[in-house]
Amino acid sequence: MTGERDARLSRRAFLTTVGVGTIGLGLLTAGQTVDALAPLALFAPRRVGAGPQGLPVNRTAEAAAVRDLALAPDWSLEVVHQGVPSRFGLDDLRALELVEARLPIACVEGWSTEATWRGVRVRDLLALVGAPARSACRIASLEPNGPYAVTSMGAEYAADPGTLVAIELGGEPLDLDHGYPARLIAPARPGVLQTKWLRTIEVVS
Amino acid sequence: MSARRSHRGAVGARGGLDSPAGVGLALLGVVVLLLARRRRRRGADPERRRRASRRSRPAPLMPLMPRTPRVRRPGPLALAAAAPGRAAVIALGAAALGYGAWLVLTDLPIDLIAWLAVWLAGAIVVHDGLIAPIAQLAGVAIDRTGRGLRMPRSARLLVAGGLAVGGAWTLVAAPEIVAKARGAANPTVLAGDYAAALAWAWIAIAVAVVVGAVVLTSRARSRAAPRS
Amino acid sequence: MTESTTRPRRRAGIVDRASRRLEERAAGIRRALDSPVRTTRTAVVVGRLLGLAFAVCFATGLFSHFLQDPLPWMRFPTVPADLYRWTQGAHVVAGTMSIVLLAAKLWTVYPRLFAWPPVTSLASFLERASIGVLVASAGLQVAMGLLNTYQWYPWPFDFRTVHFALAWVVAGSLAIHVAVKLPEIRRHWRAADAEERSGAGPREDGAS
Repeated sequence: MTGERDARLSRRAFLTTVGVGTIGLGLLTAGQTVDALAPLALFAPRRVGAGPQGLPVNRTAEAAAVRDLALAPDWSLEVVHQGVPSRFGLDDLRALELVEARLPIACVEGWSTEATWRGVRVRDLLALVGAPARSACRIASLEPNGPYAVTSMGAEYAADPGTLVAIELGGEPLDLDHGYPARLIAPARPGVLQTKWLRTIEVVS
Repeated sequence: MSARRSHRGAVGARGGLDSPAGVGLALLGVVVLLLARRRRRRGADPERRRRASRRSRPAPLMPLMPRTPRVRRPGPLALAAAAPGRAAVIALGAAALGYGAWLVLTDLPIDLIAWLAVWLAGAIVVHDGLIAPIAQLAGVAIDRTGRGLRMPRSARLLVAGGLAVGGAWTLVAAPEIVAKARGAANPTVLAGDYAAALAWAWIAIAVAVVVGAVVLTSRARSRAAPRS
Repeated sequence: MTESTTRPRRRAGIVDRASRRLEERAAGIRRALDSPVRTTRTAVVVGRLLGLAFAVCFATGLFSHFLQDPLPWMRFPTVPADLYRWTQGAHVVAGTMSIVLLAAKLWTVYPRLFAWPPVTSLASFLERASIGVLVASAGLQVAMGLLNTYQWYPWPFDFRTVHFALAWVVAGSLAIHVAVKLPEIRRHWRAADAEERSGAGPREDGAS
């Protein structure tokens, strides 16, 4: 009966439309996460490879009001253990053992890009100040205010050899918008917790 | 350090049934319930029922359509006894729902709770009152125009489908275009040209639809009138 | 005085007339909306895809939330290094695709909006209310998620707070919805069962 055939055609057409609309939209946006789909990602809010040093920026130094503090020549990273601060200037950090790690910046907004970072292992810094590698830490940024100016980092990250105080990105010193002079970079963490413009690492456990 | 604490409202707001809007809604619900009861009692008169059913008989193929209930469905307590698994899931769902509502009521100040209610109602109004009717009318218009052009059903469905896909993608891309026009925080945010991207998407859809419709129509015509 | 055996005739009250007019209007709309697409089977097919997308969003969303606001006892994996990249990528892609799936699901069940009478009992009121909550919160949730990827916040409330709260509201009302509809879902889960039933006649499930 043509009624049956027409009904089946309508149903198939509907489901095909839904499939094309859904999968098509996925293809048009997923390229900001999956590199292979990047050329298709016409609707993606971020472009792979856009930005200084090939990495998109979320919060600029200007927006975070840290320009002067970050560019100050007397900047030093403060590592505090049992109330005792130890200061490491940029040259001090460079003199330590630097390792390379390939880690992504993955934003809560869904985009992500991998990059090559170079810096000091957090667990090495902790060892230098006499703290155990598996220590929970409080991380503070030079940012004066903002929801992520001060964050917590679990002990499992501090102990991981991939967690770095990074001072170089892609072979060059960090761009100001990427956290110059030093930023925290850890595996499997959201971008907002990869603290830029580091000020203090305080051992809390 | 959670941002939640800073949004704690000044008033120990419970909102909901305390407010005049809540009382009004409850009254409306009671009125509707009474109306419904009244209709059913009136329907007991067989003459009236026959007249009413002739007037408002649902169309043939609508398995989804709710009918005026002649059958008493099992009440919730009977359901809970007969299907404890389902009842447990409903209870868990209600708990999750309640948790979400509690989060809203405790983390937002009273004026923002009201705004959230407005936005939630707006979501329903925008879809049920705007998007769905427009889509429905567009579908009817395409069907009529297609019939006028002697397009086969498959071609009419293809055009409607193409328009639906284009419409959905436009709904997603339009706010992106607006957000970009408002100005992004830095050049890597909203880096692409989304107006152009949307235009290209529509062009691709239009090409696929036109080619497909032409093929389907000519095939249907040749099938209908095969001349050697 | 003889006792009247028939009900005394009265002019139909204004409420009755309005109610009857609304009933006819609603029935007319349902007739106009009638389509071979708008069946329970289609609702199940689209609904289960939408449910899957929402499940992915809920799980990955909770992971993202607790990474940022962990409960004191929580520990997180540091391996693989790309873990958050995939979970959050999945969250946003699934959420974006669910916009289309949600639109398709609502299209399929749209005639139910015009059911008459709108409410017949406390249970039916609760069910319709829970569906109303589901539609409103799911619609707003995916819209807010989308606009967050554009860094556009036209609403006055905090994104993270509301997005987290609505996630629970959507999850809860969705669980209620599936549990209430479970018999119908089961009946139409497999194509073979559904085809048998469509031949059985139009009056099959009047359950709303």
